[in-house]
Amino acid sequence: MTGFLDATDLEITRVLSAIRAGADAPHVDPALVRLIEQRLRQLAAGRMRGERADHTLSTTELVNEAYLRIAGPDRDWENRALFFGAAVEAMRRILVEHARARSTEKRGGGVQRVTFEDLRIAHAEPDTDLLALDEAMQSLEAEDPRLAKVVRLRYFGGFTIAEVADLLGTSPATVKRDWSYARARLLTLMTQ
Amino acid sequence: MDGRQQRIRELFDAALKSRDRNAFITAATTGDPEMAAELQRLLAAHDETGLLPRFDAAAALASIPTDASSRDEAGEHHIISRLSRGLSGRYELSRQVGEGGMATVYLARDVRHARDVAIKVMRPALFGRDTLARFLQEIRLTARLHHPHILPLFDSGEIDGTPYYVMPHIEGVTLAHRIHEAGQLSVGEALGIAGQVASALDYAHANKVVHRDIKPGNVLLRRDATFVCDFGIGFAFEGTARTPLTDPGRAVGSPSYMSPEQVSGDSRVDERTDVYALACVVYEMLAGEPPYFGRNPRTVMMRHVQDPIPLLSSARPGLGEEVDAVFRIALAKSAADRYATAGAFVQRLAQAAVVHPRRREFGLLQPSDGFASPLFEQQEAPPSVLEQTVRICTARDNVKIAWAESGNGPPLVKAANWLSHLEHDAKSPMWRHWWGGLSRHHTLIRYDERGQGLSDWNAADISFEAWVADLEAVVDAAGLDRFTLLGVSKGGPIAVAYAHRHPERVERLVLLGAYPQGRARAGDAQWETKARVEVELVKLGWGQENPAHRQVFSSLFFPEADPQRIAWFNELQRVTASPENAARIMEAAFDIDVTAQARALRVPTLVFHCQNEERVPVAAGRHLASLIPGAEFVALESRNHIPLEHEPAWTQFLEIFEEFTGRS
Repeated sequence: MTGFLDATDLEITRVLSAIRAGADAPHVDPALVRLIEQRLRQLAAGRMRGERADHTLSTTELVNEAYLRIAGPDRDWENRALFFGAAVEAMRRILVEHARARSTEKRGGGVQRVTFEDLRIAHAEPDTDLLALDEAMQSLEAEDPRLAKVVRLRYFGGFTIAEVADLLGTSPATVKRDWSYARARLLTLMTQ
Repeated sequence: MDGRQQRIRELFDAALKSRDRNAFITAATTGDPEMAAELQRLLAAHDETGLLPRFDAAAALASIPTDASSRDEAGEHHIISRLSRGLSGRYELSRQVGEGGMATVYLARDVRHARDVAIKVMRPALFGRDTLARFLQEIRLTARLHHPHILPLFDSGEIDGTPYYVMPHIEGVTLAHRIHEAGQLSVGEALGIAGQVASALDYAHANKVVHRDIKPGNVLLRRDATFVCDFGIGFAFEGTARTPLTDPGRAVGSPSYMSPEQVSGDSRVDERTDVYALACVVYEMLAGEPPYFGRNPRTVMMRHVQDPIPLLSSARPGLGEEVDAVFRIALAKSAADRYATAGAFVQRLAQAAVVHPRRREFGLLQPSDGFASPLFEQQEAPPSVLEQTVRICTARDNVKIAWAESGNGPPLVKAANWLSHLEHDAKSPMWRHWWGGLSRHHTLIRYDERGQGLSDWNAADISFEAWVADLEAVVDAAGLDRFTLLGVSKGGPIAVAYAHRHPERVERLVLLGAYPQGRARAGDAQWETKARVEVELVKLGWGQENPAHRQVFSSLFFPEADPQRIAWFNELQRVTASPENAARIMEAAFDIDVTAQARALRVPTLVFHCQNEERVPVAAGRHLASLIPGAEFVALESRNHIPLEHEPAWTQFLEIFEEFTGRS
């Protein structure tokens, strides 16, 4: 009964308002992440129904689409940084969960039937790498939350250096330095 | 980042810029080979670009999130078991029944009181210092409010830092669900719901609480009543103290029902914000969609501020421009231009919906054959429908009098008063609590006076003497020897006259809102003039469909009633008597004088009177009590002629009445 307004969008807006009203919001809010995750999956499903199977879906496009649905054409919406912060965390969760599920399958976990499809992709191991990266991310988060934020936006969200700088309210030069270091640090953490 | 890591980071940045990295590292890390090795590893990793694993977003997004949701379920299960442990012995949690932005609601069993309750628990994920404070605020606010249409608070507490509170479990649906299911609601149903929400809001506002998030999801519909819940983001606007909980620069609320001042983050959000939100909700009930909508919340919010107020009449052709005019005020962009109270808005809306000439299209208040009236049909039946038997007896002059019997116990006879209707009274929100309450420990006998209700409308004799004789006829028909006699309003002097004539039959006398002398005899010139004017009003406008003339009486009898009850009483007047009969009945009462009979009474008597009512001045009640030897006088705290269901005065009346009749 609410026109084009999606129920999840409404809920996301409400939680965002609640967090803003509650001021200091130190971390990315798990409830918000869960809602956005749900919304991203809905949007992706809608997109892929109308696309060719080999279409590569850009996470940036998707996250932006979710944003536009909530904020409208208002580029300077006050909750923008909060939203994207949670959205890229949602994206990380989606990717890691997917990787975890597939690596469990490959190890023969559960009573899943192994199809030819699964066998074909089994030789490449991007999933294990992604899981290792995620562990490294947790260490990085503990070392320096700001660096973890840059990685989430840049790597999981696919934002450019300039966009990340804009969202975090810092200079592109700082983001560039942070990104260089964070990427190197993650790789050393993964090979430790 | 600790000091050592900080140092590594600085050296890393510097090394990237240096001409000779190895020389730089050796120079910078003298005596610390571990740091040198660490830097070398980082720089090597930096040079191997593109080594971060690639991922397939499309595949991940397309995967059915089974593991994600099962993990949520597991989390849910964990919370339930933690809460169950903390609440054990008092509440048994059964399942989650709702989830909002701030909290989750569980259905539970209150072990001590053997009843189902709803427990609202803060969403653990949203734990922050401020949200916790806000939740505690909600608990405090809700505990302060006691109103028949506000969901009350049973209990509250905290488990491992998770605050919760306990509310009644309501068997019913939210208004959001109802609108979704029905599309558009009938005008009668919408007004009924709006009236109850308005009375809840006006009460909260009088207690300095603004809800700030009125929406269909916060209105619960039970079969017989409507409840407003979730005073979650409301806050007390006591004095000038501003609460720091809600940053005034941020908009809080649901986009579809947000007032322009909420959207613009105006700090002057007051009760007129609730009036605005209620108007949005009522608009949605009637139109099937809220006044403003759009593709995203931002758009919707901006429309509240910028867009012209939509015309309900175009979404609901049965409604006319009078209704549009009401919404123009209720949805005004500036709070100062809106109705000051929610009740005023709903009352104006009820009037506007009724006067529209095309009302037949939606079937509200049509002139009816017999007593059928759509407004009456829409009255939800009370929790337990009054079981009564209606019989007819014949008065001395052959006029037929309808009387009804209900309940079990010693007999209680109620002398007739103006404006009764045995059939509609049983369902009416003005009277149904009376019949249920009085039938609890008694066999209640009541009847419609001649010229109105179910009794004969064609009565040549309409006089005080005839009214007393009708009471005699009913008592005889019921075959009663001795009973408690109750007289309300004009029924008072009739009961006094009867008790004087038949002292052996009247065990006790109870009077409410009664008077010893009619308006021409009381020696109050102003009261008499008003009475004459009222008779003229009745002659002129009583029979018209426009309830304006009848509204005058409704407001005099029940200044505190909500719009729904006022509308009901307006309609009751129309179906109860013809304008001619109503005028004759009123005039016949002018010359009542039972002063002498009252002085001669020797019956235990209890006289009630609502202290601030406007229909019969409390002085008249006191005067009557002073005339009857040994009579006890009880002043009730109410502005209405007859206490309404939700008023403490009603509970007080019933308690004292039952104590007096030895039935408590």
